[in-house]
Amino acid sequence: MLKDNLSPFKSLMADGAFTELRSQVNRKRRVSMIKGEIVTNMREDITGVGCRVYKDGLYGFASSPSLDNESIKRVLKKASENAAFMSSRIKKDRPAIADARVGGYATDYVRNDTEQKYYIEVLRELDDYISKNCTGLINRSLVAYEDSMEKMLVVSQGTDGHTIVPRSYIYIFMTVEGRDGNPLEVFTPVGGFGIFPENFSDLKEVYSETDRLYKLAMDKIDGVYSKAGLNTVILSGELAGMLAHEAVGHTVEADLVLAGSVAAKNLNKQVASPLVSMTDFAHTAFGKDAPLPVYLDDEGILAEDEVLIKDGILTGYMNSRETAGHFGMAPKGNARGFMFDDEPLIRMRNTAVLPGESSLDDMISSVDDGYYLISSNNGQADSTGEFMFGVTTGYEIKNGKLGRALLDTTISGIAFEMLKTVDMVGNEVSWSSSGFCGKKQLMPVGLGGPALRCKVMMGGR
Amino acid sequence: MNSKFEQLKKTADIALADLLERGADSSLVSVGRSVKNEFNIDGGEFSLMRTTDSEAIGLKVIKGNKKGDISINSFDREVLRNAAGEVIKVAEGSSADEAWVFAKNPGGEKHFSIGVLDADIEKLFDRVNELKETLDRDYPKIKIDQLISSHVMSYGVLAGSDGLIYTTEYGYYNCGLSFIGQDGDEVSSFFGADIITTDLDTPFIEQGDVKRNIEACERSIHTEALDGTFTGCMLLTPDCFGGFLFDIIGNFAGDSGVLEQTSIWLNKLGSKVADERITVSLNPISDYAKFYSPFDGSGYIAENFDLIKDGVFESFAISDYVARKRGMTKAKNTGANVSVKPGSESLDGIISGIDKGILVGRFSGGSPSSNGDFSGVAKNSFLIENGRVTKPLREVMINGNLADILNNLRGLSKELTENGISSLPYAAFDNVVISGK
Repeated sequence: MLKDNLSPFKSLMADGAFTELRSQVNRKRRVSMIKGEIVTNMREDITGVGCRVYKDGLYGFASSPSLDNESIKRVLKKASENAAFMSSRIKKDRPAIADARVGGYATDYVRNDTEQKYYIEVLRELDDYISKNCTGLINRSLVAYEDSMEKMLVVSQGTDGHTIVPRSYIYIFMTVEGRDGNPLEVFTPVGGFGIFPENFSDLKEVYSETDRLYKLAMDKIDGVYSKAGLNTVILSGELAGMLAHEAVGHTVEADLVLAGSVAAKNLNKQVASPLVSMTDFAHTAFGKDAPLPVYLDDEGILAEDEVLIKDGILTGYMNSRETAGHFGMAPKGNARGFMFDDEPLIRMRNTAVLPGESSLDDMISSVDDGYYLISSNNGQADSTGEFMFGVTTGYEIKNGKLGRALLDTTISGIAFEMLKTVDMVGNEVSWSSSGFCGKKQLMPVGLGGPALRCKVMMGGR
Repeated sequence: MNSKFEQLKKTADIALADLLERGADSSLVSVGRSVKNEFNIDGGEFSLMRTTDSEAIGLKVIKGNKKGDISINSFDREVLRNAAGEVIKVAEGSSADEAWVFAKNPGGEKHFSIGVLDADIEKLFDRVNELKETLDRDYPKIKIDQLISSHVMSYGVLAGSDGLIYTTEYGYYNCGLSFIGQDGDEVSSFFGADIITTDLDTPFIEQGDVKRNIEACERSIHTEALDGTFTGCMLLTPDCFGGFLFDIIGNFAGDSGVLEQTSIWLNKLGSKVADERITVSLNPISDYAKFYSPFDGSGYIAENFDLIKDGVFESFAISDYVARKRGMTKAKNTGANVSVKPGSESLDGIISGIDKGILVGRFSGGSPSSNGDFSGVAKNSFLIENGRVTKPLREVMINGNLADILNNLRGLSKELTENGISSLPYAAFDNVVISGK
């Protein structure tokens, strides 16, 4: 557990500048297994302190892997020197960072460590289950994974605090042989917030997900290519979450708005069907903890939800304290750094499409000729709002009923055009949080949504 | 030897002794320090100067044929002692596997020095500022989304329990640029360029693909949609070709496909897998590679090799562990310094022979399937009609198979792009499904 040895250095923070001082521990545990054999068995603990100073519109940052007082003094000094170097070469003369609520936040989460053999034993138990119950696979592989970020933050103005965000997952991969002899793969993550024993002391849910995945794998053996072109689809909640994150979320990050993203000209305009609303949740969503709750960001802002789309109207951006001043908005706690030596960037937290009123069954029955798209292996967004997701499992829909499974495909569209085609919104939200968002640095994020009926471009043959 | 290495060697020796005392049969310890100085431009304006000091210690052990691996970043004696105890426990919890073996001591200390060790921070700033000013002045429709340019200097020691000692020091500059074209309300897709270089005497815009990608982006603001679907030629820029090669190597020749036995090239060694004009090499020791890993994670020293030579599959790109596991031969390196032998035709010559196709600057697609099927969006792309590059396109998807395209080569350009990591030509492939709305 990190100790607060940063507060005494508040007095050394320069007047007339905004300074953040953050110590941090990133912990990672990973075991991977292929057909019962362990091929990765590693642990990582990375610790250090970083400091960022903002003055005249320019930042200086410095970091050290040591947490002793001399190192802390050194990074404070070096960050100020770097800001001064920039000011000596560039004149921006921007206003100072606006004041924020002063206070303190301290997590009550106690992060315990787990012996490596625990991860291995759980994987062996699951591997035995798959080996006995999932016949016909040409490969099976499992990954036990846990990471966590613990941060101690002291700022020259704002809220200081101590936060911990742990998460842990088992990733299950299955490979079958297609009718043409080629390998076909499916995978799913299981898990969420918390350290590994908190999520996997009982494997009942994991077995249930394993059975579901096995059916998808076996169905994929007779899979078909999708029709290339514009198609009517039902996106699963997982894909709706990807849409919220990739297609909308990135375009409304204020740094990307300043860089010219398509959202710059669409604030307060209709960008989606009135059925669509979207929020970047801070720590609580729909009356429960969000998948990866953020209570305090790395600029000393107590986190609040940011409503991005309300009834189809684009209502807000996600900001840092600097960009909030630029746009005349309030910062809501979106600035976060991944490692101790990473400066805070504007990042999403738990971004989700809000639920509607339709059942999934009704949505599928409403489609004469289209696809039900279930899971994805990656996604990207663009300045134009054009998005792309890789789709790894799905089914044809013919006359309102699920048909043959799909082979891997890709979907794409222009977010603010595609969202206007949404004409049914599901009534159940599903979340995922096992991946990383990449934007100079990695960052764990949550994303979610209900099923959506819409039109998208699909790759295919 | 320089005193900076002596201090690291002492730390490595202490760790090796700790591991031996705790019963390790074989150990490999890496100890290193690095400093990065970085400038950032965001949204077209200078935003940040960042200096990071880093330390890294990696402990790898084999005990009873069981392997454990721990990374920490503290030289503190107590932390190091605890990590040594922990990594033994990690190994003990694992399964015995005779395929885990570290490289043997080649005899005598080896030293590797790569690139520019001493940073010229003032000059780096000037080059970054010059690139920004050049864009502002000569390319007013180009807006920098983000520019990250840095100098990285690192030095370290790799020490083995059998006396293996490698010392390394390296330094390089890099410039990663992401930008969009903007004209009124219309914006292009993100485009960019990345270079690794030891050369601060040449403006960044003259290096790698920087200038060509900026000019392509400027021409792709006012895009048009493509009607319908056709099967035609896909001409990839060197950068984009590099991305496809990364997927081809990863899917068919890399560790996971071999270990999981899902690679469709498992039984293809010595067989023709590509057009005979295609030779793909991984050559870290070459003029074009300004940075490379001199040895892999198990301590094997990198050498150059051909993955595909004249269309024939010559070598997998697999680690020593995977090679031992599957009774195969390990690759001479597992790095990213890929090169493709240039063709005999000019880029213009290749384009003039294409009746209908697409020039692709960037591919945004799902991870290709194990069987090589790929589909995704052709970003920063242009239609090719009757031997000419015509209009910039939007919302176009391309679909094909990675193994198939290697046998459907139309041509490789004689022009090469070197970005400090790789050396690649333009590559044109036929029979790709190209679909618009």
